[in-house]
Amino acid sequence: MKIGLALLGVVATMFCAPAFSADKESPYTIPKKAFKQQYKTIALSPVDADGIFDMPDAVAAMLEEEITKHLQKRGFTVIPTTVLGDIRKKMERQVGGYEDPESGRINAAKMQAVRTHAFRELWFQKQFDAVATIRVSASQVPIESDNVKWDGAKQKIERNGRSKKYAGQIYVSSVSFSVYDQADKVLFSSYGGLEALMMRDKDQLVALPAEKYFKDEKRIRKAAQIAVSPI
Amino acid sequence: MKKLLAIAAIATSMLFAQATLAAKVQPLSKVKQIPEKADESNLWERASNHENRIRNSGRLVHNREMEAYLESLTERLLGDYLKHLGITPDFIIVREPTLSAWAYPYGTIAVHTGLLVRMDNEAQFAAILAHEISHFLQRHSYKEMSAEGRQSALGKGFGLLVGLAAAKETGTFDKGIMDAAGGFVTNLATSGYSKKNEYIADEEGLVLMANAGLSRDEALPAFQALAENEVYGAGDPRKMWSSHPRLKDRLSNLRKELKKAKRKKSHVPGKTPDPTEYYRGIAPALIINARLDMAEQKYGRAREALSKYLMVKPNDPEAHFLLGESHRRSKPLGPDFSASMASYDNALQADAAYADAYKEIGMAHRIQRNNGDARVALEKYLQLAPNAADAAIVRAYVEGL
Repeated sequence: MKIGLALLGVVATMFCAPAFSADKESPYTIPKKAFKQQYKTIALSPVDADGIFDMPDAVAAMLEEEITKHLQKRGFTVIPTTVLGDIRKKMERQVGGYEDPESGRINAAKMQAVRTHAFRELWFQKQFDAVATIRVSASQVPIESDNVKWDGAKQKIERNGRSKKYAGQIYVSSVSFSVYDQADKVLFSSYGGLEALMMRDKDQLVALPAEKYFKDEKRIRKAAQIAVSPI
Repeated sequence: MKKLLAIAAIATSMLFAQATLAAKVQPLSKVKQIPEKADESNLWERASNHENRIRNSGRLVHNREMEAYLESLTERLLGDYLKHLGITPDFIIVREPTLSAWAYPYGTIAVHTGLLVRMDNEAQFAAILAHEISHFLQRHSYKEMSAEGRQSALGKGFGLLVGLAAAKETGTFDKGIMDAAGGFVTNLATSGYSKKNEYIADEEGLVLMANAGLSRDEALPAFQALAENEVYGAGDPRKMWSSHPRLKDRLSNLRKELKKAKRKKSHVPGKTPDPTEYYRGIAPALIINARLDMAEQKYGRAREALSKYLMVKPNDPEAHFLLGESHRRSKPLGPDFSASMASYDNALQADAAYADAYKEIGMAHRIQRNNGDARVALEKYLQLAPNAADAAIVRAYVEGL
């Protein structure tokens, strides 16, 4: 699904002044010490991305690898994404797939049933304390004269032609890493900036073609490291 | 749905395009008809657009019985005003777990399900309602727009000021619903009436309560409950506006007003409220909001609402089942399943064919490795719901037992 940001109808104007100042909040919803004491084994849910991304498996693997490495270094036991992934696949087969063979439509009730039961089955089969999600998502952040800083990352965007100094808003991607308890309550949530999804073409910010996403391995790995670093 | 006052007047008065702001805005009791002038019509039109956006957001609860109950409570509070103004109460009930209510300048009242269910009796809800009605009776939104309008000569935009005054809330706002209603409403969300007007509404609200024979003492816990918006991360929007009183200040003012009212010779203590009458009146909101709270992992709050619901509808299998779910979801792996199991059993007592209760009983037995009991319950589920979306998965569980 290579629709990129064109689907969002995004051609950002550059010369609107941003009014943005985010407070630095703790990524923990419980005290960090309690988190480390109570949640020692973390199961990873398969790496996911917003609908606008066609994320290659290799990228998902890189993100998982970086996050696993960091968690293990901090003394956590990590249950890999394949465990929940395999349960889901098995259940999807059991319900006969999500697509209605006649209409070709996705059966949302079956999808929801698999999602819910897979999590319950994971809790049933494995002894672990928390489940974590890794997701690539898009958001809008301020930019100043080709330089963008967000979620612990910074980047000088691709550009074509010269431009005067400017300030505006730009779409970027980030990796989110969130940890939930049994009751689906968020325990920890943090972001790592991945890459800009737009470039400057003379005096306009335009969407990059989707083929240009996920090309910089260093940025991908770094985004995962930033997201998990508060743990 | 009828507006409280004839909104048709807008079109005519809009002909006078440039607003002349009222020098002194009189309360409804002293005017023959509103809107009086073009700028007030403009305010109404904006407010009406806002209301329409909320109505079209797909988040309204449509339940004639509940609306009728709330309208009858409004009629009681309005008392003699009803005849004087020749009006019909009108409510919109918004499916939102936060605690909020507001009055449009033409009198329509909007209320979140979260506020309805958090109130413990009719008098408590009436306290919030009377406060909002007072803003309407005093024409506070127009009054504030006029006051702000005088400043507009100093450079503020008239349109924005109209927006600010169109619908101001008691409690808090929900970002989702307000976003759905457009940028205009974001201005409303952070606004409130001025300290003076809030205090006037507090005072008049207590009078309306007393006239309706309701216990004014219930106003205090009602307003105190608004602080609970913090659990939804919503907080008190008035903190953002230094000229608007914080909830703490509002409560202390209310205490003073209550003391003052009790000292009067004419003071008659209101009726001790019977909570069941209120719960019966708002029953649909109780179950709807319990689902909303469950979706936000507010299981304790969901349980409170369900317990209120079951006081008046003790044989509702869905409420028993949801109560069980609120216990299970807060501790899905137990080790104590007794509370959820008891609720599932109650659901089956109320409806022996309630398939989901059998499924959850079976799943709880399976976690506890009570394979025999798990098999019996899960097979019963499959018998009752053979075509359920998860039937194949449950069948696989049974085969593995």
